[in-house]
Amino acid sequence: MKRACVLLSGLFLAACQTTSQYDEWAYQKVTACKAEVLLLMDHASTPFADNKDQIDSADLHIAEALEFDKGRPLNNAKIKEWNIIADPNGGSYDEFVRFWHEHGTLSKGFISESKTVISSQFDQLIQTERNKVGGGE
Amino acid sequence: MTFLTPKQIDDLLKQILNQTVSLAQKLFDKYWKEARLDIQTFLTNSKGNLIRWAQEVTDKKISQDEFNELVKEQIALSELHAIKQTDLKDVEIDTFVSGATSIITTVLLSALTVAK
Repeated sequence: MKRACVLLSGLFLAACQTTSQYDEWAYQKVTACKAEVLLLMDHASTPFADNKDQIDSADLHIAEALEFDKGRPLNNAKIKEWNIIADPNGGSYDEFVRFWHEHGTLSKGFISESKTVISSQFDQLIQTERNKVGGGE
Repeated sequence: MTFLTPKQIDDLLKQILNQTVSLAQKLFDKYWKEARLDIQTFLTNSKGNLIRWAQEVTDKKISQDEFNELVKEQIALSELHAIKQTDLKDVEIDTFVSGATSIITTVLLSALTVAK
């Protein structure tokens, strides 16, 4: 009887869950994307055309992480945060790359200001993953 | 390096607010109050960034185009909650954001150029 109660409680709690479980791969992927994007942004004072390979690589890694997150249940908050960074119609990273493409090279001042914004948006994503069930310290 | 007093900054922000409200009244008269609320919230939250970026333009650390881009992004990040709850189309909101960006750029950069 006691075991049945424990089992039922567990099932009840699982049914009430409002967010997906912490996922180590997703966590590692988003932290790697952050590092790659910030490093890439440092290169924006050099011609866009010279960095095409690194841009394609960052785009691919972001797409992989985003698609993985889209496939996880109860993960809407994180998808919304991803869209702020990577929405092709106005996400901050996509907008930065579009602006770089248009202008060829960007000033160090602009790069630094943009990095502050995009870095904090990635931090929010990382925090959201850490706050999931089973995540954190 | 040019410094503006807190009063000068507040006056500039008032000018920006008044001009963006006029713009909203021209573009979509029905929802100018929502536009006013969003821009007021944006200016309050972004005051420090706007002044710093304008200063960086006058110090030639960033270009005017880059300033515009930073302002546009900052407005997008502020999410414009009140306007987005109306039945305005995205294209109408985009037109308003472009106009507001242009007002902010003109008012702040002119003031800093004069003060220099």
